[in-house]
Amino acid sequence: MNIKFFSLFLLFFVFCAAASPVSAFEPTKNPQVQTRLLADHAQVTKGQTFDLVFEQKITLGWHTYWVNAGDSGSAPGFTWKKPEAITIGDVQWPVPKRIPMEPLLNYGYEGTAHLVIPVTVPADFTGRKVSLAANVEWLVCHDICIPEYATFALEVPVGKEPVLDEENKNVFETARANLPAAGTDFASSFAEKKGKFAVNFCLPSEAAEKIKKADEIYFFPREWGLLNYAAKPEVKWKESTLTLLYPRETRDLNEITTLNGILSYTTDDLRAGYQIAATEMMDVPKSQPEGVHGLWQALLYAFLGGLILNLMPCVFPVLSLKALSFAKLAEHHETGKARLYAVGYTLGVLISFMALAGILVALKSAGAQIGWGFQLQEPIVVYVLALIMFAVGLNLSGFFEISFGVENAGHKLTQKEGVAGSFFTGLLATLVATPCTAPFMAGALGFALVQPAHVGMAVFAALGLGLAFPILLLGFIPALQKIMPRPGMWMERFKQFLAFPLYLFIVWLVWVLAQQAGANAVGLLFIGMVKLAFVIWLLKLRPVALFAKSLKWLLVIASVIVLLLIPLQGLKPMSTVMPAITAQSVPSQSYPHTAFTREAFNAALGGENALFVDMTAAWCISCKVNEKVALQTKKTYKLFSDKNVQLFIGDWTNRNPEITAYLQEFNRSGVPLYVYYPAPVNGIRPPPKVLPQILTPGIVASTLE
Amino acid sequence: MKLLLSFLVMACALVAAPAFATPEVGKPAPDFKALDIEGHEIALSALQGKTIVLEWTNHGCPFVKKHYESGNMQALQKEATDNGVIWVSIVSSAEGKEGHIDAAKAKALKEEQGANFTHKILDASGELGRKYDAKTTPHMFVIDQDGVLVYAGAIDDNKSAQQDVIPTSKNYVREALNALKEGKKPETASTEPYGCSVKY
Repeated sequence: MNIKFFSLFLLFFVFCAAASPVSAFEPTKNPQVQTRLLADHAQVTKGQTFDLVFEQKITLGWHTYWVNAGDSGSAPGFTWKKPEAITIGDVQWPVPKRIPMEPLLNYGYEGTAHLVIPVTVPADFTGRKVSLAANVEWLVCHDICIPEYATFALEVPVGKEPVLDEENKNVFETARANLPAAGTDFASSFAEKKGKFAVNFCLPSEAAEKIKKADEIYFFPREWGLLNYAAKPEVKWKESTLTLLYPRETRDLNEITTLNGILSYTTDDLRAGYQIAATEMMDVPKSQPEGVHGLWQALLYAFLGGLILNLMPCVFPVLSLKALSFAKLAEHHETGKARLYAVGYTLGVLISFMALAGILVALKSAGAQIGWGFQLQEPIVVYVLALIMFAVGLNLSGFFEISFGVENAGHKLTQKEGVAGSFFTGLLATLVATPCTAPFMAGALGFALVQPAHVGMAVFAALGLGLAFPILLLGFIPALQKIMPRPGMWMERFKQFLAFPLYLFIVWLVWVLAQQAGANAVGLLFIGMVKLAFVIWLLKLRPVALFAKSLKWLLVIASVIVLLLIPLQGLKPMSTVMPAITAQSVPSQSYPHTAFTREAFNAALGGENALFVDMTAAWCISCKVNEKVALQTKKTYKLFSDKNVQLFIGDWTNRNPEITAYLQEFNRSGVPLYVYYPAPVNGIRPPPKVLPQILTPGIVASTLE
Repeated sequence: MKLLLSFLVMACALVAAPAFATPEVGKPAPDFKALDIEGHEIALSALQGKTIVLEWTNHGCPFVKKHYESGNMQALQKEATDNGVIWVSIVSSAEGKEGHIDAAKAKALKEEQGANFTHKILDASGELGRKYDAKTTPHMFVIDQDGVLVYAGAIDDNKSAQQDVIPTSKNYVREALNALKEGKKPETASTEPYGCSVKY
């Protein structure tokens, strides 16, 4: 054994010359805790990190303390004497135990406890041995407390090869087995919620399964004064997201940026745990004024975002149709109707936005991991949307005219039909607008979705109002109507022309569906489109004979049944969790990428490479534009390879809780999201940089520089 | 809007109200009435206009010993009471637990320690301790002249039980009292108390 325990006298003899003035330190005779300080290596090499163990064998009925002792008590303290070049790392604490001292509670250890202490020998170390000495002070309590002291000295020779100390092997095995497992990369957060202290853990499914089976789940915070130690937390699960709610103590949360601690779970009296680093939940406004400021800003952004949506390729045809109808009204001096239609349209937009938002908020509060754009993650929605667009396209092309009932066929501007039509147009505008999430909107929607429901709804209403605003203006300001070009034959032509962007839009929807649900789904969609055209054609026919009439309706009913059956048949997403990564959806063949999963990403985060995360979805147009313009370019790829960047692509085309959770970490509720993690400097990774939602090659380059 | 806001704030405050009141720094200190070892009735409300220090103590606790055997606590008590501060030492040890004393023993202990407190309260029921959520001995509270709790926590910043760390420790209570003397708020308003648990 190369580790030698010196007498106190020898210790001071060897070290006192260089020692800082450490007080006269008298080791406790007959202590309640038998202690040892051991090294895992009998010989170490330069550049190596080895471990020490501080072993505590505690008298039955007594306890010592964790780094946060709980309501009272004190953790062991170490004063080291060591060569300057040697680095003593942070103490690694085994999973502690709750030790009640009614009405108080301590965090600590009973029986045997091992603290692990890493020691690093630098590569340029010149000594022939590592000589360490430590004064250790700890508090041991049952009803009463006794501070105890011990001094240790040990030396480990430095040689060519590291040699494990066989004698200490078992102790170290036990010691390491009792340490918490790595879990600092779980997305964990803390917040004050309704007077409670909430800690949230997004657990990998493996950890979640283990913890769910446990008899007791507890989070030990390293910081004092946040939560009531004596109370058992309320445990809540949402799939693999665990929330613990504690009675709050009074310490200001602003004092804490990262809350370290141990998430412990006890199964059949066996304690285990994960090391946790929780960050403050960003979405909870710290104070009311800030929240209000955020709200107004979010409302304004949402409104502006809504306005901009009007210019998006998916909305513009619908909008121009509506605008043209005002030109007609102006021709007939129907100002009253113009207002009515404008209001109808606005209501249509608002109600559909509120409905979408309501569904989203409800699903979220039910625990679904979804975000903005979720509508398009359902193949059925894409299918229905494509059919609606196809019907509108056919209408624009002149294949049929919408008329509600035979009697009204000739009176297309009757009030009832007009308002209903306007309302319908409003619904349609919302439906087609959602994929075109404008850059302004992501922030506002991210804000909206983490707010209390009524605030979130207000933001969505502002968005809808923005979208409806141009038509509203047009309806209420006759002067604007007069600016509209005079109706004429050109209008019919323009209408027909507008069908073509719509058809292109359908092509895009088909492509999205192909990503989500495969080629069969595309086939089914095409059948649906043919059936739809067939039904419309049938409805146009006005047969006189009873037989023909019956046949017509029979066919209509049969076709509609087919239309309705299709979604039930083949429109299942290929997988509800796995990203729909395919060569087509993420065409970045010229630069290797990794599909985003928590596990792969966390592993890479612990590595040495710089990382670039691209969160995208097939139905996200702005993502596609960014990819074409700034990401999937030779220049960017070269930059990536020069910088040794590992590219992660998260495909949110289908539902993916891991990606949703990641987006939420950045307070986003939708894609795109681009994050750059610079390579670690001296082993520490600088904070990640979030790129804007509209990328240029310049932005990417300057971020990476 | 303002109305709505204040309503929301009120609603939140209602939800946030904990089951029992924990003293919060910056808020009025919980009022109490108790007899001291001399038989005088002490009421916090009657001491308005004075700065008050509450010290939870247990003469058997090594951390209390650290501050009494070194003379640190007595010196601080003297310094404070000379400046007109009311110093109240409180023992919340239950009968049969460490630190539990009767009035006679308390008086003897005062002589023995040379303590300079203004009052000493024996709180064997632990009522006062729970009211203040006193956790450790020593656990210190400073209340300003308006009856507002301005400091709660440890006596100083060194958790060691050893006396010789005292000269290099930062004494939070002294800091708080000095700040109050200058008409300021203490820079450090709350810290984690250290020591033995209060023996309720």
